[in-house]
This record gives sequence, C-alpha cells and structure tokens, in this order.
Amino acid sequence: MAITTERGSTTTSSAPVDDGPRRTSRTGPVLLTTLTWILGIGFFFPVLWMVLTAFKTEGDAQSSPPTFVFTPTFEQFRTVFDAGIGPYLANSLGATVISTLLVLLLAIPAAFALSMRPVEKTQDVLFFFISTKMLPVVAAIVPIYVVVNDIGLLDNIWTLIVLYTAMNLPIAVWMMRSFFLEVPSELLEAATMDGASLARTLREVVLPIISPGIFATGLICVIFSWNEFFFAVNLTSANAGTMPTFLVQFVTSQGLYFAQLSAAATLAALPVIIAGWVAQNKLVQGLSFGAVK
Amino acid sequence: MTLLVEVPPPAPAPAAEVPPARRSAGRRLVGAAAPYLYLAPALALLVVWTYRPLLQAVQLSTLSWNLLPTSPATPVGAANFREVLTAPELGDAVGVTALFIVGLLPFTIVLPVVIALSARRVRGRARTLYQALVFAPMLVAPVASAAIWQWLLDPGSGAVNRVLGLQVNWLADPTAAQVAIIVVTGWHVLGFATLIVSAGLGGTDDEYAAAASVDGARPRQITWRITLPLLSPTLVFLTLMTILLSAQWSFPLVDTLTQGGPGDATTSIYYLLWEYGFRSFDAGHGAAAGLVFFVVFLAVAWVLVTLSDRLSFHDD
Repeated sequence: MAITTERGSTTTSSAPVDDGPRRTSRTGPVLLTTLTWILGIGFFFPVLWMVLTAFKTEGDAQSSPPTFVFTPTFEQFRTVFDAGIGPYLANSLGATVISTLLVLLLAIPAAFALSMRPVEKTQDVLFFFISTKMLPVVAAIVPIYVVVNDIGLLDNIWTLIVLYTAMNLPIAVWMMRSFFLEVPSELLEAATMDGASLARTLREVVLPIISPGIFATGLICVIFSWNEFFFAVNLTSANAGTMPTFLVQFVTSQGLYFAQLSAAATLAALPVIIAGWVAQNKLVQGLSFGAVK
Repeated sequence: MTLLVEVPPPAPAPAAEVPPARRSAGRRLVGAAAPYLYLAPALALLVVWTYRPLLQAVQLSTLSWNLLPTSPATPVGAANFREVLTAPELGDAVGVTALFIVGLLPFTIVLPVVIALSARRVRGRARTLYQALVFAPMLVAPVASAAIWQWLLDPGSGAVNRVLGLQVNWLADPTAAQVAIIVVTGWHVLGFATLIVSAGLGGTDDEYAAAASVDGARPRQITWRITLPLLSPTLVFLTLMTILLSAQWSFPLVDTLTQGGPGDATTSIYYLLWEYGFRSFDAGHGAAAGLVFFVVFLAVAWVLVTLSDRLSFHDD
C-alpha cells in the first residue's frame, strides 16, 4: 500500500515512490477499490436521495417503486418558504457567522499565547480548555436556562451567539495552537530581534503562514454552529429560532409529506454542504498541518 | 521572508553585541504580561459560560424547584442525589448509553480507518470526489438527517426495508430502534471521524513507511506495524470523543425519531437528564443528575488522557 500525505495529494499523486509495492497482485486492489467506492456511494446515497426528492412532486416522491426519472419542480421549495423558513435561515446565518468570527477573534490570541513558551502551566490551561468539553451540555442547560431567563435573553439570537462562541472556543484554541506550534521558532525570534511587538509578530509574520489552519478552524465552527440543535431547541422559540428548530417543527407537522420535508432539509443543509465542499481540501490540508498529530 | 522588508531602511544596522530593541520598563512589563492578556478574554468567556453554570448546578442540586420564578425553591439537602442514584431508570439509561458508545465505535474508529486508508488508493480528482461523498452526511444537520431517515426507515414504503428485503418496524421495536439510532448517528459522525483520521495520516511521517518498504515489508505489515501505531494518538482521541459525546450526538436523532422510546429503549443518560430538566421541570433533580454525569465523565476522560500518554507512539 502506498503512503501519501493528504497534504501532498496534488504534488505526490504522480510520485514514482507510490507505485512500487502495489504492483504485487492485481485483483486485490481492484476489488478493494470497488468496495471503497461502493462504501462511499452507500454513505452518500441518503443525501442524494434527499436532494432528488426535494425536486419531486409529492406524487413522484411517494411512488412505488421509487422513480429516478421525473420532471423537476420548485413547488416544494415554494411551500417551504411559504411556511416561513426565511427568518429561521436568517437567524442561523447570523448566529453562525457572528459566533465563528468571535471564536476566531478570541482563539487566535489565546492559542498564540499558549504556543509561545511550552511550560507546565500551558498544559494546565490547555486542559482547562478541553475540560469544558467534558461538561455535558445537558448538565449545564438548566442553570444556563435560569441565568438566561433572569437576564431576559430567552429567545434572543445573542444568547445563541454567546453560547456557540463558548461551545466552539475550546476546539478552536486547541486546533489553532497546534497550527502555531508548526511555525518555526526561528521566525518568531527573528521578528523579536528586529524589534517587532508581539501583536505585530502575530499579525504580520505568523497569521499569513497559518491561514489554512484558520480557515479549517473557521469551517469546523461554522458546521458545528449551523447544525447545533440542543441550545436552540431549549432556549429559543419564534423570534430567535434557527434552522434545526424550524425543521423539527416541520417534521412534526408535515412528517407525511416527504417531498416537502426533503426540500426543507435540503435548504437547511445546502449552505454548509456548499461551504464544506468548496473548502474540504483546504480543511484536510489545514487539519494535516498538525492538529491531530 | 517578509521580515527583512519590514525593517525600516534608514536605521543603521546595530552592532551585534548591543541588544537590538531596548525597551522601557513599562513596555517590558506589558510585553511580559501580553501572553496573559491574550489568554484572558477566552478564559473569561469559558469561566462565565461553562464553569459558572456548573457552580449554579451545585446550588440548584440541593433545591426542590420547578423552574418557575414565581414558585419557591425549597432546600432539600442531598435528597436529589439520593433519588437520582437510586432511580431505576438511571441504570437503564446507563446501559443504553454504554450500548450507544460500543455501537458507535465501529463508526468512529474502524470504518474511518478503513475508509481513510482505502481513500489513498483513489487518486487526484477522484479522491476529492470520494472525500466529498463520505464527508457529506456530516454537513447535513442532524435534525435534517432525522427527517430523511424517518422516511427511509418507514416500515411500509421505506428504502431500508426494501433494500434489505425485511419487514422490520424500525422505530417501534426496541432492539430495532436501538440499532437504527446507532446506525443513523454513526452515518452522521463518520465523515467527521474520517476527516480526523485522514488528517492524522497526513500528519504522520512517510519516511518510516518508505524505509520499511525498502526493507521489504509487505503493505499489510506496513499498515499494521507502522501506520496504525503512528496513528494511535488520533485513535485514542477519537475513542475519547466517542465515549464523551455518543449520547450528545444521538440526542437530536432520538428527540426527533423515537423520543426515547419505544419504552425506554433509546433513552440515554443525556436524554434522561434533559427529560428531568425540561419535561418534568424538576430543576434540582436535573442539576444533581448532571453533576453526577459530569464527575463520571471527568474521571473517564482523565483515565483515557493518562492512558493515551502511555500508549501513544510519538514520532518525535
């Protein structure tokens, strides 16, 4: 089996080193490759089916056996928009974008500070960040509900923004720190020698180097906040509800209308699917940059 | 590289012995404190939004209160903890949670490793497509995937029964419902786990494998003796995530597909705690159960983190 780095997928794909040990048997690899594809397509099928069904009429969607050939229609999407998906989409977008920006704004300096001198305390602080993820959200939801209720921010989009920021911050700090550690320390020393302040070193030397990492971290935060369900369902209702809360209502009320349901689910998934697909190579590249080594 | 350009050209190059940038005491103080200043906002946010609720949970756990601001909260001491620990449904929920964890491990460890390793056989553009295929389910919101699966699992017209040639009422039979929740949750998190494994593979050094290959190691040997051990920190990390988050990952699916049923077949600890808080509106009960849950998880996490330091092979 050939060993290639994800990072170098474009550059090493034609490297001769890869082809050496694979030539030994012919049928094995072909079979494995076929299985690999069957597995991949199998996992993708429900998503494909959802998107296809979203463009069907209710009649086509319910037909048995299922049809692959049909006249596409936007009728279902119109119904979903008529059901008032708009404000929920806007809330999701706001909560996701603002919280992701806040996470990056807080995580970048924190991770930079944690990457500078590896001392005993660094480990403690890192463990503190990670430990907040061991607190099951469900254990904190009742106190959070009480606090949010006290300050009158139930069903307010800013509550979700703050909570999503807190939720993603530990992961972001942890990922960003490993990116910072990959920056050669000579570069930092050189910058200090030249009299650059810490802030300037960070801004002008380090950030350009780790930009793929920032991108990867941002995308992970976007996915997690866009799909977040638990806080949204417990702390919001009509005003600040996000896509997942709309969907859960829709499933309950329109559960039998498969085409409509698919259209709603497709709309909910579309923004992250597009973002994820556009960025997935960058994401793997960014993660390989050192994160989970 | 850019650094050299940044240096203001008119300043004469300082002699080597003289420290280049002399700074005032005040600036030096700020300089020394800077790392802490950089950390402070992030730490503050987490303290306020995760540890303060925890302290409040401690306080709430000694009260009997129904979450309504108008009704009085009566102190009950340790009664909530006693009730939580002796409640019969707790044992069942722990069992269901353990089942979810064990059931999900193939989806978060075994399959991602197989997929990530075999994805390396696929080259160039095809690989991008392949990654996108496996990655897609993760991008679909859990509630949206619940909607799709509710329909795929439909006993009459669902695709699952049709493809498998079965007549199973997936969400109404206890065992079938457990299997369904595990598989759908697994389907959902697989992309993320594969991504982490791919990244872990990308991060490992190829030189070891190349060296072994030169020494005549067979591909299978390279996979088992070199690639997987080098991947062990990633695998330990994924195991930890699975143990800590299985119940949390399955929550949106359980909530939309089965509401914890049939019976209590899919009521995990997570779902049970949520029911304590928001179904029975028993704040004290919920807080006490949450604290017990937290302590147990912290212990599990600590053991795993300690173990991972011992077990993991590091290539540096």
